[in-house]
Amino acid sequence: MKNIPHLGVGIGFRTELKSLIFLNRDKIDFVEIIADHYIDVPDEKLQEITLLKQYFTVIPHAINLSLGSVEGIDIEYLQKLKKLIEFIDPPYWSEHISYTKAHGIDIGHLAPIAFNEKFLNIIINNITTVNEVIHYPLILENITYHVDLPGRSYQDASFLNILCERTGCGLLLDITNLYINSRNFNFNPLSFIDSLNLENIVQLHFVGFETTDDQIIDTHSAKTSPEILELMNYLFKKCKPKGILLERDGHFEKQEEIIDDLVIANNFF
Amino acid sequence: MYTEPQEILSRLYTDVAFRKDFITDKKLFCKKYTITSLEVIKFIEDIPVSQIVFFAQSLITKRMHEVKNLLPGTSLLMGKMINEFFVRYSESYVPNGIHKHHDDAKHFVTYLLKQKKISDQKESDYYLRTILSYELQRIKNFISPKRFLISFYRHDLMRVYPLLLKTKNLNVPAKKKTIILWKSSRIIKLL
Repeated sequence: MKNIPHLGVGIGFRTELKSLIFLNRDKIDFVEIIADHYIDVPDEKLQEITLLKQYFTVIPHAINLSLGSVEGIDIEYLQKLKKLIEFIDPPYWSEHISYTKAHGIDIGHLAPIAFNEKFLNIIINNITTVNEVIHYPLILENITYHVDLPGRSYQDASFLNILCERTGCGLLLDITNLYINSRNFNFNPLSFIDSLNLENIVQLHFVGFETTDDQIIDTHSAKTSPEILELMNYLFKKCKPKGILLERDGHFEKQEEIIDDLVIANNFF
Repeated sequence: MYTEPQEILSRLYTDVAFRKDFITDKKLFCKKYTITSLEVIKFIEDIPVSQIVFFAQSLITKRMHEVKNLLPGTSLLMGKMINEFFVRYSESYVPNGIHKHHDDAKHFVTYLLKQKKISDQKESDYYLRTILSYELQRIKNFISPKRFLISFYRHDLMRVYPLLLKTKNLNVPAKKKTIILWKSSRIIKLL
């Protein structure tokens, strides 16, 4: 992870944000593409990546490898992902500490794994399989979880530390996910950051959230709140990630909000 | 027979009937699904019900959001009714694959087209079904582009569809028979 270049400020590439991204190139250094959007697609769709690469560093963000699956990795999907990553030739790529499918059931979203020895070993084995096929540095993202599974033997930060140490992977610290989990499950996000091995952090994700009566939800569709920015400030006093990325997934019509968030992100550097 | 908690969890998240049995009585649930491992039984006892329900519901919300994005014309025309139909449909099908949201949208449209009534009035029902068929073909064409396919529509969709999305005018437009050619990933109006 030490050889990864400094990237700066990024934004998740969504078709709806194409114009905004190109009109605000001065505020954006890199873009993140959702890998599945470019697998098994017509060639015209892949040309989007070719165009993006002319202006930005492109980071592939995978969502379906299901690194936490007990039954292992889908090798056919892994090969398709490998082809895409090699086409992009990025400084690194990312996936999630979660699972999305098990025993023929596709959950359709990132589901949590229990933070214990069993799943630590499962995810390490799966990452070993992945690294044998994809020879680019991998960073791992912490997800929001709404189910705190029984059988936990590690706190969140400790699990991430050991996982990164044993796999050599970097960390994609999603500050918004961290904040949401801390509020929904009553732990101190600052203590989490203090417990984290900050040398593992390569990139951050940030964005706003929404609240229901009793939960905070990662809709990725709102302006970044002061609480999230405070956490980022706290982290930046301790370490400097290679990149910060705004991961906006909805309410794209609120362009001023999105641009504001990019300006704020630039101020961190 | 279930021996792996992850398999049980995956089914709890996605299978309404399975989840209902779990919520109703965990001991009976273990008996019904022949869960005999003491470790797995303990795991089930300790799983927080409300959290499973919340996550399962959030998965349906996410599916609905993605499908509505892929069916913008349908979403506009159906308004809030689309939500009720989707929740009912989602109990019968779980999408999969790399393009699972396209798969989900395709199956949802097929489900809607089978319903006797999806709009309040006859003319708007016809129009909605036309938009549904058009959006279904667009999705099918994305998943596996046809080298050559001709479709017939009662409305000039090449003109009407972009206008619908832009102006959000829900009035049924005048009929005009149109023939559209789907060629690879392109859409061409022939007549």
